[in-house]
Amino acid sequence: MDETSGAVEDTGPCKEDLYEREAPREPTLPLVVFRLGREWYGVEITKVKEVIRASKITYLPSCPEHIAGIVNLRGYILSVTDLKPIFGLPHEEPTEKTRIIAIESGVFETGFLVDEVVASIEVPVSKIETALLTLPAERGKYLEGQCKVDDKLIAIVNVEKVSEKRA
Amino acid sequence: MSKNGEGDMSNNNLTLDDIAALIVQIEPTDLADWARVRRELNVIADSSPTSAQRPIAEAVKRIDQMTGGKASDPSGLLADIGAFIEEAINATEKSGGEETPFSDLEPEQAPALEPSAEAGGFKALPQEADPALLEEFINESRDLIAGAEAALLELETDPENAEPVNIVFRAFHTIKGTSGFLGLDHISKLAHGAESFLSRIRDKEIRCIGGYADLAFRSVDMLKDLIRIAQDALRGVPMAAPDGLNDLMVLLDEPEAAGISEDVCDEPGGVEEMPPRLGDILVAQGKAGRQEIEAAVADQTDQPVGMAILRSEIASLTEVGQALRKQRSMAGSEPVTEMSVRVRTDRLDRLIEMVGELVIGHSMVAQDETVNSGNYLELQRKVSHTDKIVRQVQDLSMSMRMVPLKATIRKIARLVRDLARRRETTINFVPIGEDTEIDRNMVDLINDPLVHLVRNAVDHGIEPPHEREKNGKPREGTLLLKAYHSGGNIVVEISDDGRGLDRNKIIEKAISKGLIQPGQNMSDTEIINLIFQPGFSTADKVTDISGRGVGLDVVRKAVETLRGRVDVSTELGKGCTFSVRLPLTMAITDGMLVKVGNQRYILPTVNIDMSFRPNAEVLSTIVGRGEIVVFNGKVLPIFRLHSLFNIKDAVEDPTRGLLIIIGEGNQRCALLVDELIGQQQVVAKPLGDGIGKVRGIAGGAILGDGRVGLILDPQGIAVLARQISDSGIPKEVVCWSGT
Repeated sequence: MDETSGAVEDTGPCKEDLYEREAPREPTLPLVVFRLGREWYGVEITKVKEVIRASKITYLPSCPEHIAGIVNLRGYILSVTDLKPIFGLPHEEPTEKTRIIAIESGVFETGFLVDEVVASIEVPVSKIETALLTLPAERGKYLEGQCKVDDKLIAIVNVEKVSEKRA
Repeated sequence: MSKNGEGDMSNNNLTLDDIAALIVQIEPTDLADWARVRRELNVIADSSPTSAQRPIAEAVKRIDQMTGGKASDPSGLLADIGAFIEEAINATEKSGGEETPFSDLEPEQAPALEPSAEAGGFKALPQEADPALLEEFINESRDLIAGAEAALLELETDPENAEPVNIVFRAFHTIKGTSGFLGLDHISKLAHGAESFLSRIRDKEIRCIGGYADLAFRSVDMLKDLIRIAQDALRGVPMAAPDGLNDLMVLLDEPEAAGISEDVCDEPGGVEEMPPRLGDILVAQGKAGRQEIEAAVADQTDQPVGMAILRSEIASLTEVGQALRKQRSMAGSEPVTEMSVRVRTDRLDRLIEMVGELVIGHSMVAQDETVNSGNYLELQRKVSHTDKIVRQVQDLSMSMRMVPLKATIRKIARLVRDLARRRETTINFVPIGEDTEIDRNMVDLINDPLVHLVRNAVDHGIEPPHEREKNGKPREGTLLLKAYHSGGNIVVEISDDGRGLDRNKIIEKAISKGLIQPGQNMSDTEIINLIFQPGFSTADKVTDISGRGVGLDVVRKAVETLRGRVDVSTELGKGCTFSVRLPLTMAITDGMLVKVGNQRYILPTVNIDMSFRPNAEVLSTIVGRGEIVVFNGKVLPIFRLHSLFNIKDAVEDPTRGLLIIIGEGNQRCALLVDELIGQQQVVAKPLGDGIGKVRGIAGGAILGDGRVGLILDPQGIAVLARQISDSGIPKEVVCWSGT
């Protein structure tokens, strides 16, 4: 006990050092970047649960076009959302690189069917434009914003809006 | 977890009729349900005409009496409540709702309808309570109560000792303070009452022996109950006032008024169970010999046993005191035997689901080529060994959730008694197979259909006594409820010896309701099955027991959602038997795997009548759109699963595919699939988030190869097909056009 209290006293003079702050950094938004057709999209990494191989999707009859079906995620059934009809992209057959990004946002879980998962990046918040003049309003509704990284335009998907469409 | 009818009761728009229907289902001891009924009545009273408010208020008063534990004759009270509600219904109907609600005019004049501090308005937990604080309070109180109990026991052997009194007093005082601060009014009130009572002991006004001691013990017990209720409420269990709280409050206020004194003989409440005798305890502890004690007691018959033993100096005061305490604790507390473990149902459900997956996973291993190649006999042996274990685990896990039907059947027995009394007949209710077990998740779900069938049998089936005598039957009707297991199903049969179903009456009714055309050729089974059509009711008059237009179709629908079926057999004048066949559990579905194009679906076996490959001559087409098949002389529409679900590369020629006959009565149809793959047990799961209900699909299941298979819903398919074909198929051919 004595030793401990001594140690506490020793740290006394260093107190200021401990509280010295790092140089302020710009806040960033971590994104998972994926490809749909020839376009690049991103989704906030905090909403991504995992990425799984797109195999054995069970087709659901009489469902809207953007519902690709359901898959088995370790004993749970996960619905799969096809983002392409939502963003007006043509349908393509799945390839080797096709993945399902399992999304968890609040109580809602689904998987985004994407052509390829490209990278996980951090984008400075200041670089994100919320004005989406280049996109028609109908599609823009499902996006939170866009940003340019290495000359690529990345559209950030609004998970909540997409989930509302499903409901 | 959910009690029968809770869904109905949570709905705030109950009518008096609903309440009347509910009351007959509730046990007089079911405090939580009564509290809800009382609440609903108060709500109804607010919007009722003046003439109906008095009977409602009376009914509420009776409920309070019953739940307050004051009732000496609960069944009489129950009848009174029923009568008052009936009166209220009549009054409401008479006034036609034109009268302005009483409470709108003079709100202060309806005090009886305000939630009072009486049992019905009982509130164990304040709304804004901090759960952490409450938890702490509950634990603290437990300790204090335990201390108080010990002190009281000590006090009884040594009434002059001031120290135990102070311990008890302080315990109550602390609990009073904290509960008051937390807003636990009932606890604080009781603690206050007990405190004032104890202050009289402390001030040596009275001594803590005999009746007073019992009163002190009762206060402690009640406090324990209240704290337990508060704890339950914290966990979300519906709360109800413990029996006799109000009585106790009155007693504590003025014990002498109820004749309580220091005399032991005047024991309020009475002793239900004889505690072990003091002498026996001492003998058992080896403190004294039996003969000695018997001699001492015989010598001094005017003394209590303890005193007699003390005076004869057989045992010391401490020994007698300890024995007394032991006697008290043996009589007072319930035996603490931990024979079972309480497990949260969601965990149990999850376990059972996982075991289901294990079974499927294991069958994947067992069916693996490597295992079955015959080259690895050792491996094969090991796999078959695990197979046995897995099966045992499955059986065991399933049995964990099985409960006997006893509770449901007892409720029904009660219902039959009440219904019979209301119709002024006597019915002999014979339950058989009360111990038949069923998945606990299904118990609540099967209750409503059974109640409905029983009501029907009593109201429409069994004739009034005079009619029965005329027909040479015993005056007393018999209602037989038989539950048994049969091939992975549970079957509940409800048989009455009443008038039976009248074939001609059914036809007449069906024609008048437009369900069938006159002159239509139908088999007996088909005719009887008409009673399951919506809006069909053969009763000539609507009674208050049953026959409000919603009828057997509701029963059938409810049973079918449970993947079961209802069958009926009858003989005119002899009686009628409804048999409800349900799967033992909803967790596992017995299904037939069918292939359509590149898709596979699971069709619940219970829905399949039969399957066959048709010849070209039994097939025909009507007006180019509706396809039919003639099967056993019956014309059935054909639905192509591939076109309903828009599946490519499926077999389109019925003579190369397979027709599966599903559905019953008017919904019977033939479903075209490519082929049957085989039988499989699957664990039904909801489809993923956000998909909601898909027409024609009942749910999903993980198949042996890890893919998700869809479980078909035959009823949904029929609806879907009707939508797609719309008016395309002529009405004469589409059998369900009548609905």
